[in-house]
Amino acid sequence: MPRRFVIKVTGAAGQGIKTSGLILAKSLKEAGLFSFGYTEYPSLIRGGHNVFQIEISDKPFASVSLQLDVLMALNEESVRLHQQELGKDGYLLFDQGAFNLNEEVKNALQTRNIQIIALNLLDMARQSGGSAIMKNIVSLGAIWKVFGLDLAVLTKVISEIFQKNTEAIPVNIKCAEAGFQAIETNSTDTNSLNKIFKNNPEFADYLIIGGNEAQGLGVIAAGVRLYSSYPMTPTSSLLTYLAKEGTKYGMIVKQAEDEITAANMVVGAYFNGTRAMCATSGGGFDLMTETLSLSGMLETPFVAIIGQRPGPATGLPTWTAQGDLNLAVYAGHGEFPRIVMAPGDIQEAFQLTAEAHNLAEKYQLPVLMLTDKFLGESMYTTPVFDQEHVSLNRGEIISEENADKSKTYLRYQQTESGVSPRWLPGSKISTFAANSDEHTGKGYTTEDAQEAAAMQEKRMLKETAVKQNLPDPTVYGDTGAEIGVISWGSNKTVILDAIADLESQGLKIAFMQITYIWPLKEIVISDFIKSKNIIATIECNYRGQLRTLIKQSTGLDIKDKLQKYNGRPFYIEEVVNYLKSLQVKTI
Amino acid sequence: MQEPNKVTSPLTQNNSVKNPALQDFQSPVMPTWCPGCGDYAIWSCLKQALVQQNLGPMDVLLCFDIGCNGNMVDKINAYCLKGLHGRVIPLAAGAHLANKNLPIIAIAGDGGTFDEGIQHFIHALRSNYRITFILHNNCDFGLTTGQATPTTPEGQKMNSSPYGVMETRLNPLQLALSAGATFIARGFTGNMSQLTELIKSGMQHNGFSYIDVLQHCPTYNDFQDLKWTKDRVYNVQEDGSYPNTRENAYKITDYSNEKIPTGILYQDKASVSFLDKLTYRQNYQGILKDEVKKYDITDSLKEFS
Repeated sequence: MPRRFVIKVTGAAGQGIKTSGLILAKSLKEAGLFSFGYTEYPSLIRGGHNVFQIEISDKPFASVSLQLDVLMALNEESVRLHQQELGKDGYLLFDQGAFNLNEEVKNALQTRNIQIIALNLLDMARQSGGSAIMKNIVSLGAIWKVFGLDLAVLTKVISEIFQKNTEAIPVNIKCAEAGFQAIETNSTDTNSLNKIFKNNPEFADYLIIGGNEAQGLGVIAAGVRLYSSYPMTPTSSLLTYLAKEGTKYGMIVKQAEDEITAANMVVGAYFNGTRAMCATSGGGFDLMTETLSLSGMLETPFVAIIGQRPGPATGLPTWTAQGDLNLAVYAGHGEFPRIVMAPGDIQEAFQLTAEAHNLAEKYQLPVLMLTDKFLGESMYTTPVFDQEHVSLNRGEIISEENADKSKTYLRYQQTESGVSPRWLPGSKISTFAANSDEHTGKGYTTEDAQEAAAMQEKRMLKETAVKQNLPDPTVYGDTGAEIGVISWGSNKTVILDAIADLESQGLKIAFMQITYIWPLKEIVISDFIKSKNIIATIECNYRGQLRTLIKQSTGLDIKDKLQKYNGRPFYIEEVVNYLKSLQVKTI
Repeated sequence: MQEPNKVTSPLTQNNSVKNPALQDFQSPVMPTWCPGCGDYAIWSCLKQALVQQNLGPMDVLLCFDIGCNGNMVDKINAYCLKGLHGRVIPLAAGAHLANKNLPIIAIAGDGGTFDEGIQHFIHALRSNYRITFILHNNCDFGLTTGQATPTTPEGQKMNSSPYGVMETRLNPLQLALSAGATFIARGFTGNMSQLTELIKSGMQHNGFSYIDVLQHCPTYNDFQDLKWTKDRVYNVQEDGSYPNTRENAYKITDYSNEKIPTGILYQDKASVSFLDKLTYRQNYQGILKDEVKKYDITDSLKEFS
């Protein structure tokens, strides 16, 4: 396994666990270390079991491990649920003010040489002049000491976090110091991350950012001017982020009464010439499907994000999944072309939003972006987004100035590519009807057999153009390897991390990430499959939706597969072990 | 609350045709409505209202729902948009937000609006988008051959209700008032000059203007024919003493009254439309349509560094 240092902070919701995670990640970055933060929480406001896991390394990565080095337990349940995840020589920190460890647990931990450190967080917070809500800051001080890092880095970040409430800074720093010093007196054998890792000062310039925020920045940068949405986990934080940040750029952020409205507003706004989008989860997208079909028929651009979580029905609202690929590819009545794409990491979450709008406008069709809870709500360390890479392409729009006055324009003109240049209502060019009924070039309703077939063929022609022009899937790792894996979406990073690890052990793997899933580039994919002795798909769903789609498009069976559908993302250990098992097959 | 943005009217733009006339709106497609259908009158009044406001075919966006009303989409030469059943309001609202300078009229029937689109109606009234909503209220589903809608009287036998409608009759005007309507009017296809004026007044209103049009359906509605309605309607604006209050409008629109009021039943003259309430757009006087460009997000990155 690649050397990582893993800490899990767990307790009841409302104990400030998310803030602790943010402070830790920012402090680690300041200390020149790379971290990845992953949260687990139930669908409750308060109470329930909250988890924040931070993994630390000196090399970029973005995945989670099963084994912990440190468990910070803020309540008794945390010990019961997670103590077995602690590896040998790990640390258990627990809040003695909240509960006591029973002998059985103590013995079990000691046989694994786990150091047990009891802290009375409430007493320590009070003695530092703080209140109960500052227990999490005390615990951060203690953790920082276990890390063996410089306290000044942590207190600097705490000062920054509380900069809007300067009065709170001194007491929070005191709380952190109290936690830090408590470890010094109780235990001398602290683990210095500086000994395990080589710190990299470059990381200090990186961002600590969640997937939804990154996507939100992509939405702003892409020139989206209307964002309409109905809250639904895991994309609710995108709505709240844009309501706060997008509006600073004048973007209209409209919380709609339902997903049907959100989607129709996007179509209406795009029809009248601005960029608009909405986001939801699978359940909300169910309500948008008729509008998706409308976008297909009107040939009006439409962009939606589907942040996946496990279904069916309400499913596991706050957990992760990749079960909505079929939904994205097949949703909507009738047949019409569409594009389905899935960003794989934080950089793609930012960059691909503009691309989604470019494609929607260029081909005048709906574009769906599949993300998931893991991508949307994990906290990434990442280089500052390259804004130079963001470019806008609005497709063919006829303006009053460049319209040829002698020409009769038809909105749904038959063309070679199937794309008919559009112009915006209000332009002094020519009237037309954008008609949800089958229509003529002018947009008038028709039931004529020939006209109906010709218009359906015109729309579907765009799929050919899209397929020719979409980027091919990317192949990572050793492209010539005997073993190939194919995956999509947020699995990208755990697979890349596993490949990097196995490479150091001499195992070579080629990994194809399909970012643009529909229309599927079946020739490139087919060639990749045929070039491998062993081929497998990795997906967070039960049926193997990508695998089935590939079979349907290429006629090729992919026998090996790693699938998961319990709401958890793939852990690095699972992927490493699976890929090793594929190697055994080659022998 | 901060001062709202300067009130903007979409009716002050450059027009596509000098002195537009009715024939400018003439489409080569002939109407398909039944003989005697109220849609002919609404169709004519709509064109009249546009012409009288000096608006040409390329100066407006007409949005249609599904139903006999929606068949108007190609019977009028203008920029037209036809969406899905019950969904015309959010479609028109999105279009309006993108280009507030383009006057937008949304047209729908009582079936789509008060059955599966009722949430859109209620929330658009709450949002108070500056669009005009013309409701073809004929108390039945015409295009699907005469089923009941929420405005069909209770007990009325319809082809899907052979034992009579079991449900209470919905009162759209009272519903609109309780949802915070800032402009409600009722027209009647038997009085075209009044209906034309109502459409014009609605288009001048800075907010969501709801014009409920009592419309005869000669094929499926024999319980409220033209004469039935004509005998009951009166114009509230007739003598100039109409009390313009929500309470009064609520009272006179009740189904228990023998007479049916028409005219502008309530208007909040100080109405502030959705866009004019967006204080965060005070520095953006233009329209969203013209604001699509790449935005530099450097300032927003600070929070994450």
